[in-house]
Amino acid sequence: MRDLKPILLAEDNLKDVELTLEALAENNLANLVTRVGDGVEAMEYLRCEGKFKTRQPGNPAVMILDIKMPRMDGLEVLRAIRSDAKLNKLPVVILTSSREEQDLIKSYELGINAYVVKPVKFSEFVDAVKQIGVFWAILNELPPE
Amino acid sequence: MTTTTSVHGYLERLLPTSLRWRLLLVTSFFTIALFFMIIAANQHGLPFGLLEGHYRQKETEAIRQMSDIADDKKEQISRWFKERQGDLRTIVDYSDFRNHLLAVALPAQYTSEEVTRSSLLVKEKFELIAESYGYDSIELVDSVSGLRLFSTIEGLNNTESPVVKELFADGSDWNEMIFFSDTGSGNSSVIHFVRMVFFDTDELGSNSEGFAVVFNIPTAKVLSYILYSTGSLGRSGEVVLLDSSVRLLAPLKHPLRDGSRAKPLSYYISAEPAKFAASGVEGTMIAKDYRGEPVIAAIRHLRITPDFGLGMVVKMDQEEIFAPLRENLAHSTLLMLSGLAVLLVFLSFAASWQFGPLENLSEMARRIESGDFTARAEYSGKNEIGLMAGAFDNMANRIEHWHAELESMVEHRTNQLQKANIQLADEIDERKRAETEVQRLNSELELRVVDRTAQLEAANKELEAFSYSVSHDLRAPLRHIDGFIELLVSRCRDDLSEKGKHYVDIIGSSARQMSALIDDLLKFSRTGRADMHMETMDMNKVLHEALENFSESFSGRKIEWIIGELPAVHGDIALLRQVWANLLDNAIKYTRTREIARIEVSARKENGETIFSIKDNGVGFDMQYAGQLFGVFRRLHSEEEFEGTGIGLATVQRIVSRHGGRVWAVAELNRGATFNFTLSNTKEIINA
Repeated sequence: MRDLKPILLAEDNLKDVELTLEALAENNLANLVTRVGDGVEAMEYLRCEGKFKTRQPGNPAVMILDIKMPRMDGLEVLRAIRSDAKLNKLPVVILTSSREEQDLIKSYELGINAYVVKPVKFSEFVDAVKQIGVFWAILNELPPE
Repeated sequence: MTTTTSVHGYLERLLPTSLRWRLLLVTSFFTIALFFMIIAANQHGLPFGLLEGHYRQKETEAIRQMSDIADDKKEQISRWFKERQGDLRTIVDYSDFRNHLLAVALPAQYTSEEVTRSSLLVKEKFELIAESYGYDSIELVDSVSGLRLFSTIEGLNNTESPVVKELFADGSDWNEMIFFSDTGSGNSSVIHFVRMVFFDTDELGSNSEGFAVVFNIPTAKVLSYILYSTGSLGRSGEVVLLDSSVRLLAPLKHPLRDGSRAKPLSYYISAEPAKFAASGVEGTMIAKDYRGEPVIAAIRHLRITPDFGLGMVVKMDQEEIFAPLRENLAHSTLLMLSGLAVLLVFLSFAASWQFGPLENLSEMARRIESGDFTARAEYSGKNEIGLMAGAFDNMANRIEHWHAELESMVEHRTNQLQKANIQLADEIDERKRAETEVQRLNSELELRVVDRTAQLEAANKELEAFSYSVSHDLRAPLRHIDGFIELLVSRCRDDLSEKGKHYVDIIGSSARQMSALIDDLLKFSRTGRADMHMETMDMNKVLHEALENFSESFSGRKIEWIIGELPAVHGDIALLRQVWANLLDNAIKYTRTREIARIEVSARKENGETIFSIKDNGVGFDMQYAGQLFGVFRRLHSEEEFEGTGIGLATVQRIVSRHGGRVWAVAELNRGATFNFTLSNTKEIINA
């Protein structure tokens, strides 16, 4: 049995973080989650900088990214990842409240792997997050680093 | 030209005034003059081609003249020769005299008495004949020895006669001969008449032996009066005599071509007439003579004896023959020319008399044409030209008058125009000022438009930011409410009383209701802002695409669909699909209470526009509230009766109006509703 890679969750809202973790917990994936509060922290984690200097190196299995975040928003994080040779193959799933067409178009232009709108109804939200977790953290095969 | 003028004046009075009659008169005069000129010319010998006839006539005359003279000469010469032959025969053939001749020739056979008597007689007779007929000499010659037995010329007896010796040298057999020799004094030509006196053959035994009596006569002496009496032959005419071998017999009148004189008996003529005459041809011919001079000649051949013939040419130079004609021609030409000169002088006089005024008139017309309106013909004649000149002068007067009037009018008008121009220039200045003002206002206006547009764009941006935050931020708390209520219900169910569970349900449903409201509001806002992609589309297809999304909405329902043929339209396909979706949603929703729902979609043409309709047999509504139908969040039914946010029809109205169309509804409470909409026929994009 191989070691499962962590899931990086970039989400500023703690309520959303709790609901997301509740959803992932249903598949026992919650303990794999590393949570960062904004884009800057997300990039520090990915590049093993700042408070993540000492973490075990290696990219996460998937990054679940909110768009609207303080300091550096999700689209900026995405642009930074895709223009970084070490990170550009990292699967990124946008999980957002926004149904705005512009956000959707921009995200795909920047090379998103999936775009999921957070359903208002909680049961649907749980289904969506569970599927993201199972697919990207367990089923998806990544090219060797 | 006072003389001419006075003559003109005289003629003016004398002649009829009409130009036509004058021309007739002049022409008649010319005709008569010409007639008389021709008559005169004819009488003088004719130029004008009639000369040819005269030439021919003269030629014929000359030919006849030559011919006559030739016949005359021929007869004279022939007769002369015959007479001489007769003379000879008389002597020789007369038997008594013949015996005397024999006695002289053969003295041995006669007694001396007889010989002396015969000698005297012969001498007497010969001398008599020679003198009376003009012979030079008469001789008796021995044909064998050629010795003269007797000659009328003293001292020639018993001398040799070269002529006779030569005659008999070829031994020919003849008894009479005429021939020419140059044995005369100074080698001049001499005619010899010879007749043989034969012995009886019995006596002499030889036919060729005998005596010849010879008459000698100088050609010039004998023939001169015949040949040279050529009075009617003029200056150049002559008679040329030749023997049958073209040898010249008598001196020629003219020198040869090289200037020398032809010597008779040694010169042979090569000219055509001489050849013909020598060969025995007779006639007349127009040819060149021995000098190469063109002549008219008559040709005759004189057969004197069977062995002796003469050729004769009587001729005259053509130059002399036709000289009178040429002279006449010169005279006639002079006459004609002087006549013509007179005619020309008269003609020019007549022309200047009659056409001078006309020329003057045309000159005056030219002057008027070139702008000199003072030109006048001033010709007072009573003929047509006079009338014309009068009319011309009148016309010129009027033109001058009109011209002056026109000039003053033009000046007047020019002044007016100048005034008008000044006025116009003022007006133009004013216009320019106004134009500048308008341009200034326009640019101001444009600036303001740019300003407003910028303001509008800013407002739009703000609105977008607002709806973005609504979309993102307003929904987050709702999701949280819903999420945590779910968690509360699933995780802490046992801790809640029935009442608590009821409250939690209400909170959840309210949150979801609010979420739906927010979604619809965002959608509505987007329909107003989104760019339109105009294209031509099949409306039937668009309707069916919208219908496909409702398959769940009418599961377990009985709906009778009546869908007509819809025309193609021009518009934004996504927005129009939204229109159909919203209208179909309404129709399906409000027919829910009907056991069999009936929904009819159709299109019709009215006043040039296409009206799409969707008609249902649902609950309908009271028309007094129709005005509120298309307002945002306006509803005619309660949430409990029919769910909905009240944004669907507002969206329809916004999309339809962005397509330049309109939407309206016709309904009756509980008896169904009909929603109609049109789209603009133009392809203009209208931003609502």
